[in-house]
Amino acid sequence: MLFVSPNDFSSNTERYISKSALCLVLITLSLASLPYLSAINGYFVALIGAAAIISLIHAILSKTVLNTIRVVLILCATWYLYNQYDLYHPMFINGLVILIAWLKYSDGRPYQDSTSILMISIVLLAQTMVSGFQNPIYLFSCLALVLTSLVSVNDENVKILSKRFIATNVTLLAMSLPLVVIFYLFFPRLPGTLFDWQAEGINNWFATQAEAFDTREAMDVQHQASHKATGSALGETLNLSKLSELATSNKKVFEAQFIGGIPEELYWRAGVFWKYQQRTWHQRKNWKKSTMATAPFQLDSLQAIDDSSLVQYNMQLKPHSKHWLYALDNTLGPIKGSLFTPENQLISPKIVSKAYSYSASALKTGVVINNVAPTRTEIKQAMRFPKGLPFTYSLGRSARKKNAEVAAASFLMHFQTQGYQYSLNEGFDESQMTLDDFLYDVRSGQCGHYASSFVLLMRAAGFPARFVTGFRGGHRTDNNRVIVTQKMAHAWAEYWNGERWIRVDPTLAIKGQNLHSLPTNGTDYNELTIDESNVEAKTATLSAFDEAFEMGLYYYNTQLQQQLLQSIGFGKLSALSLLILCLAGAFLFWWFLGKSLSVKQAFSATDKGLICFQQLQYKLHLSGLTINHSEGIIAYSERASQAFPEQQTKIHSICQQIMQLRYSKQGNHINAKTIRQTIKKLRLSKTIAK
Amino acid sequence: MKRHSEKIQWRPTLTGGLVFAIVITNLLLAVSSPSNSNFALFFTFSLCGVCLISLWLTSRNIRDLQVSIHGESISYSGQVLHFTLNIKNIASHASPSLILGQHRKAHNHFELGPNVQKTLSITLPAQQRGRYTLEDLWLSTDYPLGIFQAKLPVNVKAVAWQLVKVSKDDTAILNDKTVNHDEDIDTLREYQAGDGYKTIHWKSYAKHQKLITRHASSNNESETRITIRWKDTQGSTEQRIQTLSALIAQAEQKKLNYSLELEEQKQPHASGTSHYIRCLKLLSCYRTPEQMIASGFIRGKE
Repeated sequence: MLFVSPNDFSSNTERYISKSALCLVLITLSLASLPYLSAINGYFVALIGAAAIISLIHAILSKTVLNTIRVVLILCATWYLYNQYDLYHPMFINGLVILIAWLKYSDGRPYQDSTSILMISIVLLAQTMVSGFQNPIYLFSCLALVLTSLVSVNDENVKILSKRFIATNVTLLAMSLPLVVIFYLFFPRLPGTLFDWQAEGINNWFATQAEAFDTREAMDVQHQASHKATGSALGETLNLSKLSELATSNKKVFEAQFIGGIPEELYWRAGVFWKYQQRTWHQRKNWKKSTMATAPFQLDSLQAIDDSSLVQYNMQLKPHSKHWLYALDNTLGPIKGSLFTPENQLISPKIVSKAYSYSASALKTGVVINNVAPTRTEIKQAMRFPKGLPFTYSLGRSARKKNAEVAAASFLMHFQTQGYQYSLNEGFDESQMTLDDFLYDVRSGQCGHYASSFVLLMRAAGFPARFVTGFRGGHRTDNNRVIVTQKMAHAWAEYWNGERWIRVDPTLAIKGQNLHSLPTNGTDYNELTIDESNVEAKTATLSAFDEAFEMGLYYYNTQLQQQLLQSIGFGKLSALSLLILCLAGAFLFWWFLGKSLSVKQAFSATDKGLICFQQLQYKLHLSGLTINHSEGIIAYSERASQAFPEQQTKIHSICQQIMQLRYSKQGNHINAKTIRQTIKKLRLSKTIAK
Repeated sequence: MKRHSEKIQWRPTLTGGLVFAIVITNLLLAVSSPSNSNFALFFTFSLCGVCLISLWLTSRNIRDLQVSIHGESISYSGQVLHFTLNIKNIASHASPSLILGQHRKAHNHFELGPNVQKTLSITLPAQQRGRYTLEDLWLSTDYPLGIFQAKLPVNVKAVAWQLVKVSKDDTAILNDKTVNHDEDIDTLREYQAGDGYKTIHWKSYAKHQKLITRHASSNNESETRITIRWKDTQGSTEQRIQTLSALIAQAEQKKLNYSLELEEQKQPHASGTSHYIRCLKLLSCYRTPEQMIASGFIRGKE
């Protein structure tokens, strides 16, 4: 039998569980359910409350009544959750699991039920953590409760305020803390997903759950339908070299006719990209799950906008075999037959394979509205830094303590003052150039390189940023018409300043850029300067502990791990080498543990004096003094004193006490524990004096 | 006191298996998740760390334990059997929750503080007359977390006797048919098993270099010497044993000096409770087969 079943531990009867233990288990379940309940909300909380009450009063209900109530509650929860989510949505499945966990205690087998509830709670907590629920208080509360619950469930006579219970928990926590820190800091952070199925399925599961944890993203029923109808995959990517190719083509992409005049600044938005990997930008794979869930602007901001702040236009789009529908930045709301993502993208449910016309309206430049804050998942994706760009990372880290605006300005200043030039694949192999090469060697590139570098620099500095592609400007014709060609393809960046996404066009910061379609009034980035006093004021508010805590728990990643390894002399270790080293270390540790935990008992003596004597012998044996079993304590005392002359007095004293303990009539007054502690504290040199 | 010579055996509990599965799954997910999964890793490694420390604490709880037999317990037919053991925790720090069990069954769940000794008994249902040995004993603990179970085989054999019970209604009567009044015997005779050390005649020992014991003369009327014999009884084996037991009980009750003679075994003359118990033990073991009642629970094995 591989595992020991609970019945092997006790006699024939069901193992007993104390009320204290039960309370701790239920508190753990409550804490584990909390993020799910706050996400699902509504009637489901009432159902869980009913399940909890049923569990607590199950003893007074007949079995038939109890089973009927349980079935009714499960059916109600299924119906409610199905109306809120998909059948395979994590919230649907986890919601039912939580309800069943709350009903479990009504089975009437306290020990087994409590253990099951505790296990379900741990699974839920683990899921919550993997989904990125980042709250340190929640994390440490969960750990403390899981630990105390495990100890209390396993101890029939537990008293949670007893010295023994507290001491056990404190010992476990205190002793495991160094192990936890070592594991956490040195366990290799793998650069990507291990398996394809993981990226496609499991991680999407957790990403969906993470978004659902945010209550403001709870999908309403109306939008759910469109979500279900348009759940097609959009795995769009953009290689930076494509932008250079586009810039050589004069092919018309679309035409816009403005109603009431052409705005001064024209940024046509197409795709928003989050993940950078091997010179290619990737869209969010799970973006479709949040499509239509939330308007990208806050409603109270929109209510203050009048018609004079709006630009209205009609678009005539050429087929381009993508889902994107081009629109001006800050476009308001979805147009008929399209989806509007929180990233401000217009998406066609089907690939645009024929000419397509639509009307849209956008906010004029200068109208400031607050965006809806990005979700935790979006923030994480907007903070993700790819591997293999150490120079870019170092440069970005140099602006780490600044605020977002100052950091952005400092990077733009860097582009402007460090000899960067605009160039379309001239004098370098663009397909082989990394962003490190671009920033430190070539210093020449097109908009894609500048925008990409800027996004990654901002991420390295600790600010969420994303990469946006589209078109800039347009050829003006009569009748307020603007024609946009492929040559005008452009890329820019956006960073989150805590209130809204700020558009930054790093290409504009370069001197001598190729202004083939100049916006009439680009933002003048030269005016931005770094206010050092402001930087100091900001950074002074962070204590060293806060910073270490934040860096260690929130932002610790592959790069920081490599820095740590470098600082302790293991700089050249790759993630794979570290993984192999860890596995080897784990194997050795397990072998050592197996050996040391299976040894026979150390002492076999029954009287306290002999135990102390054996302990002394063992202690001195470790320092090189051999044990002669036929030797009496007096002879041994003399030999030990000669071997360790610096501890002669103490050894004599200990031997005298042992003799008194064993042979003297006054031995009862001598405490064996004190002698053993004295032996334990004995400090000896490693080698024996000759 | 016997020393443990067995090694500690380790097995994960069902809870431990589940926690292990959760930890591994969570670790794989967290380490390769595209999002920042530091909290998940911290949670996972905390579970890992606590489990490892729990493993060490569990080991500490069971290492410094001493187990010894607390004598041979005696019970009469119809009464449950008690196998009694002494368990001592000589460690000054470990305060374990322990289980004492035999073969696959757990019998006692108890706590043992530092430097504390406890006497525990394993109770088994009433059996036929005989001497019973209980082997395959073990101590186990999964304290504090219940993630791993450490099992320490106890290398001692507990013994219990199931003696023949003599009821008050028993009709056996000491009469001339069943007992023989002994003739005069010497006041000194050679030592026999069961003789008390106070009866040793030291002068004779010095002279003959062998143990000679002193016994009262049959002329002393207050001490009638009788011999209870197997061959004087009738019926089946069990009936004859029952009869002999009743006679022994009556002799003991009358404080007589008696001996017991079976076909091949003999219990010499003596009196007193110890002699009475020795006689009953002899009867209980008489013609009993050596058999295994259950795994590790053996009848008739010396």
